[in-house]
Amino acid sequence: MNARRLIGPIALAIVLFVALLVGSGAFDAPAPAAATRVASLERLVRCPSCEDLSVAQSISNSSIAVRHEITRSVAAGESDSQILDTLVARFGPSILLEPPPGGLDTLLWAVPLALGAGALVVGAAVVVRRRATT
Amino acid sequence: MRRHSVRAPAIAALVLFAAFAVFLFTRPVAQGATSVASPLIGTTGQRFSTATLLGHQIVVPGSKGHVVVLSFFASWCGPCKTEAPELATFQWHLHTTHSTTALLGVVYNDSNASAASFARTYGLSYPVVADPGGLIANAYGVTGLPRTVVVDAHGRIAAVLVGAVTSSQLTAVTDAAARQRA
Amino acid sequence: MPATLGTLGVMIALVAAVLGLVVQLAELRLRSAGMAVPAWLEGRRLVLLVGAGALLAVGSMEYALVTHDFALAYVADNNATVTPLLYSITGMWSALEGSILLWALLLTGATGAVVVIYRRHHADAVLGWATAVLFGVEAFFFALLAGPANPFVTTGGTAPTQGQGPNALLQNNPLVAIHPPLIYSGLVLFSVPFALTIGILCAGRFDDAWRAATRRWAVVAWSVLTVGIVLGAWWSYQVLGWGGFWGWDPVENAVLLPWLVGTAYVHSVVLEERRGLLRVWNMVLAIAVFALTILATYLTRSGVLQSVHAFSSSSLGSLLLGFLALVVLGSLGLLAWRGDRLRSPVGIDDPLSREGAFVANNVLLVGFAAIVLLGTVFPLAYDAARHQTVTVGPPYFDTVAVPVALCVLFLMAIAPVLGWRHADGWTVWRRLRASAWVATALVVVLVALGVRGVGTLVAYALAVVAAGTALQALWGQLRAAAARAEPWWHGLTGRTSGGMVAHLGVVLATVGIVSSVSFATRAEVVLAPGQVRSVGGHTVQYLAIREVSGPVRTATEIVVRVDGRGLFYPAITEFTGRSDQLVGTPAIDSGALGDVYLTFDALGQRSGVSGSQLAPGLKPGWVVLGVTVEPLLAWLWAGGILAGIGGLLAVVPAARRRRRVPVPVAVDAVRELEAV
Repeated sequence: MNARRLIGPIALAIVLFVALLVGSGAFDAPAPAAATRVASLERLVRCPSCEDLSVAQSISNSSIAVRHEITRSVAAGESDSQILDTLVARFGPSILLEPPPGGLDTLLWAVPLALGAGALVVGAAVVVRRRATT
Repeated sequence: MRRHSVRAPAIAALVLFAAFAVFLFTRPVAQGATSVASPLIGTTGQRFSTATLLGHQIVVPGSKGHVVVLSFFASWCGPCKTEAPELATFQWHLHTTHSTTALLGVVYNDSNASAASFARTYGLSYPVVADPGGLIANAYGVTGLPRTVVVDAHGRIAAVLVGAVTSSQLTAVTDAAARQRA
Repeated sequence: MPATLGTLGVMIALVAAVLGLVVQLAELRLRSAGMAVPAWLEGRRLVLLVGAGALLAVGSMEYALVTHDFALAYVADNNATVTPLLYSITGMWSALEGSILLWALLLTGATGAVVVIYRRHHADAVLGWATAVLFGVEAFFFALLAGPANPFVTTGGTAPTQGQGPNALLQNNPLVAIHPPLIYSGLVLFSVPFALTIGILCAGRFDDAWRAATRRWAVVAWSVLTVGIVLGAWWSYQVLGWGGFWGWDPVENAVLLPWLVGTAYVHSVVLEERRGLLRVWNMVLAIAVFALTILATYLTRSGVLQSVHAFSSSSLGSLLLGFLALVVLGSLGLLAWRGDRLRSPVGIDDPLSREGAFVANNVLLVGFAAIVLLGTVFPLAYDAARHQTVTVGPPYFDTVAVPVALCVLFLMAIAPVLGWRHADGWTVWRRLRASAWVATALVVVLVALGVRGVGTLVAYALAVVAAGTALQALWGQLRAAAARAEPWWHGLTGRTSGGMVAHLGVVLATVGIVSSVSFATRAEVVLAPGQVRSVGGHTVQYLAIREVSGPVRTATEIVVRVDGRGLFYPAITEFTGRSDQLVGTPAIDSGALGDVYLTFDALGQRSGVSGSQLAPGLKPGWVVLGVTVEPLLAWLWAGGILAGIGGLLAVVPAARRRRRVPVPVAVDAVRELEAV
């Protein structure tokens, strides 16, 4: 392999890596303001009177009631999990747009991970074997 | 390279699919009102002071000592129309048996005027309360209509019913809640 | 009258389809025994009768809808005397029974097309079996219409004088006339590749000509389905009022599943066409797409998963599930029996090659389909295990979809420049160099402008490279056409060019999705009459409020001026006969650079409302206006339609081959080869 041929790809990789590192926001001042916390919580909570819309998206009255409650609870200094737990205790786990952690929901995440890992392992094995035979 | 037969994967897929199909086939399809295992059951229902559509100030779910049925409804909800005659029957049943059980309608996401006309259309003679701010619905975990919550004599939530109820179903549930007291 | 005629139509079609199946099987048996088949004993002739029955049924239904004949329960439920003509016509697919009727009609059309297009090969066993399969599927759907999904049930007694009118959401936007028929057509067209695949398996003879025909049907079906899905997303964007276009709702997922596997299929068939690879896998995919369309119908129509637009019915579920089981068990049985005989003689030489990229694409798309299916039925499993209802919604699907989409984009960027059989790193780099540097420059500029988020930046970069790759390939095709002294547009047809046009469409759609999701600004603004507010770089001014009332709809509209130019009228609408359903009607200032999406969220008024007030103490006459600014969203619609066009271009034979005889004629040649 001609080493000079590697200059281009390596230069590109370095520039891209640095740009993405800065772009990841890792160097920005962390600003988890109350507003962003409210917004991220609203995206996790289902609108009580509709299906599969979050309270952030829905303008139904029941969603607005929940939004107000989230805003109040955040202002009162409750943690994210406390707020979600309170809602689950009232509406049941279906109020969350993701099944509550701890238990069966592991399956939901394990299957995609297993599929991805399996595909990678099989792919890598095939590449290695082909390289060995040729 | 050694090539595998397609037979083994095909049979594996068959077995997998058959299990999936059997699972789907044995799923019950929800019909009518079902009593759901709400996390609220056993907890003390939050109390609210509010006005009925006729302007009387009352406390929801009402004074302790008797069973209260909270029926959340709206004029735009189809199944609420299905259950409205049943609720009227239930109210008549409570009246004729001199039961201490109380039935209360709670308006959910609707204008009070439409709800009042709904109550008139179906001859609902029990008190119907307004819920400004949706606070009552929120406190009783209402996620859809029709929703019926039964509160026992100690103020604890005894049952949560999802879907259109029938008079006999309500009678059975309230009787069970009343026996809790003994 | 329409009830009688319609029922008669369904019965004729049902009997003809069952008869067609029987006759077709008898015909196959005679032919395999080497006997001559008299013309009157050809099953294909019964397609006409099925078609006549289907047309009679659909005609009766449409006649009843257009003339507001409320003696039919279906019409009374989905039509009113004031319903305009367009929504009377579209009323046919606004509920379960009518949708199945439309499905049956489209299926009859597809069967008819197969019989007519391949009429010269009617004696061929593959076509014979395929026709039998199509008759079988038709018979199933007409049986549904004759039984649990009968659209011609009468109201009984004296007919009501007024009907309910269509669901408010289904008479709010004319797109409803286009996207459901397109989605159904796309799904129905996928039954042709399925039938031909079963035909090939039953005939036990691998036949290049029929495989080519199968591929072409699949690509057409894919194109139609793609456009249908995108227009469906556009419809929900314009109607549902939350400013989004995709909610991972079970009904949406049900259509996405066949589309994902169908996308895998239209890619992996290229390997078969070019290199004779993956024959059995392609058959599996063709069968899987069809099975998924039935599964989708089951999941959305049986009431097993309750969803916003699922209309449930009782015994329909078990019938659909039974049919699905028959399809899957039968097909897999056939595959296990015949699969080994039909396998491709060759394998893939080097995973780092175009072939490897296609396989990776298949693994990603099929794997993602499996995950979507898992997420969709997960609440059922949870309920079975824990007796608790849970929701699997956007947070889950988005989390899984983003990495998959990025990997697919990556493949799209590099696969077209990879060599067949073996890829050489230096060649790939040389071909990608220019677009990769442009992409990197774009990322640097975006980061400098303050854009944050690795996913967003990587998506833009990959989109640029993928577009560059596709444009390079297209440029090559155009130059080749010019070199052959052909008109330039000959360079746009054929598999390669069509595929690249479709890729460009997907890139456009991706940019639209990424931009509108990453840079959306949402706000709810309280406005006094005449007041101006600024949201996300746009100004909105609340000018007036007015009542619009007509025979069909009564609406409260607010007049909003956007950016000091155009006037928009977000409204709250009530439809006659559906007084129980108030729907928000958004107004959208749509442009190539972005949309301003306006919804009328609340009005200050004196009368009491139960449920929370959006803005407590909102003064009478003041309004709450929902404003969502979504940059580049229109690119999604344009890209989706372009992808569909690309698919169709891929089916038009490439210019240099056009003068040759169409492929199915080669059947006899192949058979002779086999005989040798």
